[in-house]
Amino acid sequence: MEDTIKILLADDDEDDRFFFELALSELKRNVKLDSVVNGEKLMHYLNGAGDKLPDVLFLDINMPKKNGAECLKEIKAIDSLKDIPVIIHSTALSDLMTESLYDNGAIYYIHKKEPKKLKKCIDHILNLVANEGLSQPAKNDFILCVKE
Amino acid sequence: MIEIVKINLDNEMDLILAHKRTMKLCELCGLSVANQTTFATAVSEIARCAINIGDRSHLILSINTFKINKKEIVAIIYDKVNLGENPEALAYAKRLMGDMKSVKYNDYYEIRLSHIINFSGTISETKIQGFKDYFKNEPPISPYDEIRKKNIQLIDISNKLMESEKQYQMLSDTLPLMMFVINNQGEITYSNKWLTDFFPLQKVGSSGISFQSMFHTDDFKSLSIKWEKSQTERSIFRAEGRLRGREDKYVWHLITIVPSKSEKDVVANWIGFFVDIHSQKLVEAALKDNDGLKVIQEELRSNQSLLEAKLGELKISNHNLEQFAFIASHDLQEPLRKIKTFANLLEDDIKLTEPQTRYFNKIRNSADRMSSLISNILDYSRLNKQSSSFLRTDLNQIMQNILVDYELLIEEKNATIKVSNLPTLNVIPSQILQLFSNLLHNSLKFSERIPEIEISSQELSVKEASQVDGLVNGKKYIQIKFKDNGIGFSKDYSEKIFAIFQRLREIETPGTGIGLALCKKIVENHNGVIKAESVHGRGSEFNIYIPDNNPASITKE
Repeated sequence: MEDTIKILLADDDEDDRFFFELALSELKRNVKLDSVVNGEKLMHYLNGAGDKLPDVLFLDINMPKKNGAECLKEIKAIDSLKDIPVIIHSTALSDLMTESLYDNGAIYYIHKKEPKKLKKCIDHILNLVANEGLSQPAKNDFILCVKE
Repeated sequence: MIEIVKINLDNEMDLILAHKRTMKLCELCGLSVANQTTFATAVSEIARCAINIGDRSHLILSINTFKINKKEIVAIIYDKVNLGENPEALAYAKRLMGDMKSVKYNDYYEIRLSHIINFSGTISETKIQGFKDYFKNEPPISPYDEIRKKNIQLIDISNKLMESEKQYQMLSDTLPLMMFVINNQGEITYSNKWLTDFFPLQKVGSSGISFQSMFHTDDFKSLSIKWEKSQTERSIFRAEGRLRGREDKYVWHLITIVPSKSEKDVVANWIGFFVDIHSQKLVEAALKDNDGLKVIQEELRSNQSLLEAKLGELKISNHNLEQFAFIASHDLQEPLRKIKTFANLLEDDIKLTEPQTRYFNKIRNSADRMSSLISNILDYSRLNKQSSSFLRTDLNQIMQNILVDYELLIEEKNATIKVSNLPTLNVIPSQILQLFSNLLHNSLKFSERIPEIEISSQELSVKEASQVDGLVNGKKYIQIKFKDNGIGFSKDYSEKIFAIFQRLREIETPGTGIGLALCKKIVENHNGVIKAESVHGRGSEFNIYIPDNNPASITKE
């Protein structure tokens, strides 16, 4: 039995949070999921977490109050937070935007998709977390594609 | 004051005597001939007046010493009658000698005229005594002799006058200007050679100066108004105008006509000058033209900056529009994605009847269609972005990638695709991929038979390129051809198909109406041209022409 993986999801969209939970529940892994609904709440959560930081953060980009890109920069600028692996989970973005997310230290980029497909991506990420750990791939492989 | 001689003024002979003796005394005192004549004439004028209306009139000529060694000739006319009351009589004398007054001493009115003697030091007392003796011993006067003498003098003066006039004529002919004199009747009484040379002869003569014939029609009216004004005011006339010369040649002249006033302040003559100022006028006109040019230039400049400002506004507005299309497309995808996702979830969750499955498919297909429509708009709006850079790219490589993408569809349609060797060019790779992909997809999509698709390319020389409509002359092009055996389209639509949202098929045929508009835009981004030809039902041919020398972008490292 693997250790419980602590997952934090930051997304303002209720449906997307539902799809994520659905995908995750179908995986039947030992996980603990927390959700926050905007960038400000995310930063508040992280700053108050002490040593109970998440093992991986799924971060949406288009969020009110503080968007995902701003949060990413802020997280990477804080010593105690900068090692949290950040996976961008968002809709299609411009190449320029995607590139800047990679440069700012995000590990993977997952396009939002239906739960069946999303499930496979999440599984892949969690496997990496549990085993060799998450590290930035080559730029070309930043957008995560998992074969059916 | 030493009295030299006294002359009674009773008759005409006394007048001659008075003149002669005054002349003589002046001569003895060394006055110039001109001064002798002036003084003697002035004295004679008063003497004549005295003889005509005076009483017991007489003239005394004296020499007066004033200051030290300064002497003057003095002539005093004495008369019982006050000649000064008749100023008309004295006017001529006054003009010669300056103002004079009739003053009464004792019983006589005296009119005194005097003339300073230059170098009077030589006129000694002895000499003055000699003058007195001269007049005492003077032989009696002979009227005949006197008249003859006067005649000779007159002829002499007239000769001198003629000489002087000749010199004046020569002088006025030498000066490079037209000179003339006109009288109050407008008749030309004098003109120099320049004037008669300039005007056709019949127009200058005693018949008068005709402004209308002399000047340019445009100048005539304003000039004649001004000239009339000068005539009434007796003031100097000054103007510029075009004189009409021989052969109707017009030359700009400065015109000056000055009134010539007599001693009685009466204008008898006008003296006129025409000075050629044609070249100045031309220079002036040229300068003025230059000013006009400057004004136009200034206008042009301000228009240009206006244009630039508008262009800037347009750019901003275009950018905003792109931004809007991008964001709108992006946000529109979101609800669609959810419709599809929930539809799928629902389908997985419940057992559907036959019609329910069909309805679900309808929902999914509509959502898919909407989604591709939106993503095409998104692609189209992205094409406007200048960020795309030209890279040296092997088009075969791009084609290979597309064939891999369409592997399934090709297999499904059992299509044959022949790709001949494609060139390596400077292109925007992502856009060319989209272009080829769209064209290939169309060929596969719009087919009723087993698709046969040929993709080939050739180089066009400058001469060959010049025969294709819309290509820039003097450039070499690469032609890339997509040929299929699909359903094709009617010739009438060969331009129309490239317009955005233009759909030739009925709604059942898949397609958003953006694909070919996108293709056209991509080719235009590569400074090229795309053309379509088709025979309805027999297949279509798309030809892409791209210059072979698009420069590669400088890439930042």
